[in-house]
Amino acid sequence: MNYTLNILSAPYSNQSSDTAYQFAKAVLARGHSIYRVFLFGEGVYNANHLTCSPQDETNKFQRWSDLAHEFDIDLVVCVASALKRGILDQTESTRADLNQYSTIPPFDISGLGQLYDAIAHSDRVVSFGR
Amino acid sequence: MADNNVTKKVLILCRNAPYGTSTSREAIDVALAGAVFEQNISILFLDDGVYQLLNDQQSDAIMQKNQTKLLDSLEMYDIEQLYAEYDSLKNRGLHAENIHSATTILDSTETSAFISSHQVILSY
Repeated sequence: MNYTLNILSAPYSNQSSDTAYQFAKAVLARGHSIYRVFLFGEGVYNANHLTCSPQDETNKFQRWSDLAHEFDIDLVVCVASALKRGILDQTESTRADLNQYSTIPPFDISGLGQLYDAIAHSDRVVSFGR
Repeated sequence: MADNNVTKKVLILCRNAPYGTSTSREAIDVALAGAVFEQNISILFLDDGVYQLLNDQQSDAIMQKNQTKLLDSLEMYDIEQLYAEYDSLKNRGLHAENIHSATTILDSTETSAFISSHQVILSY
């Protein structure tokens, strides 16, 4: 089966991000595929590459990045949710006339159209958080 | 496997009260985006979500955007019907005359059938 994960909560403050990650690992381990991971609302904080986790905790940005690279997963961050929360890639940062950016590939900033595209192309859409 | 050309019936399930968190606004944003992309979208208000439907919200007093105005904008995108569960309203002392005029109220059996008639459910 082809899955899409819709992540709605921030890492570190909500366990849903961990649950989503474990779900993703389980899905892939059973030979299924992940069409897209869509970060929406506070879920966009999962894309913050400035995350510095304590030594005894996992870096959750890095964990998603590593999984995406290993399995070629599409990680999409909702632009409307992201910009107001300071999650910007280099392009958006330049556009907003800022001199820093807070997310990098494999995270990709795009619109809600990507959620509906994922709905059309996935057998299951599973939401995490809230 | 998913057929790429099929438009799925998507239900936006609103379970949170307006204000206090961004959840209620973001749910309607998802619905509006779906309508823009010509998806088949329904919106059901359940639990505390029914508070979003209350008339006479005075959100200016708390410097927040008015949820009713946001719900009113749905009609322009051809989402003309809103749905609410009867028990959620009743348990909160709300009646049909207190809530958005575009709302259809469903009893619990109808609510179950309504939810089941959709292929994708996004809960906010």
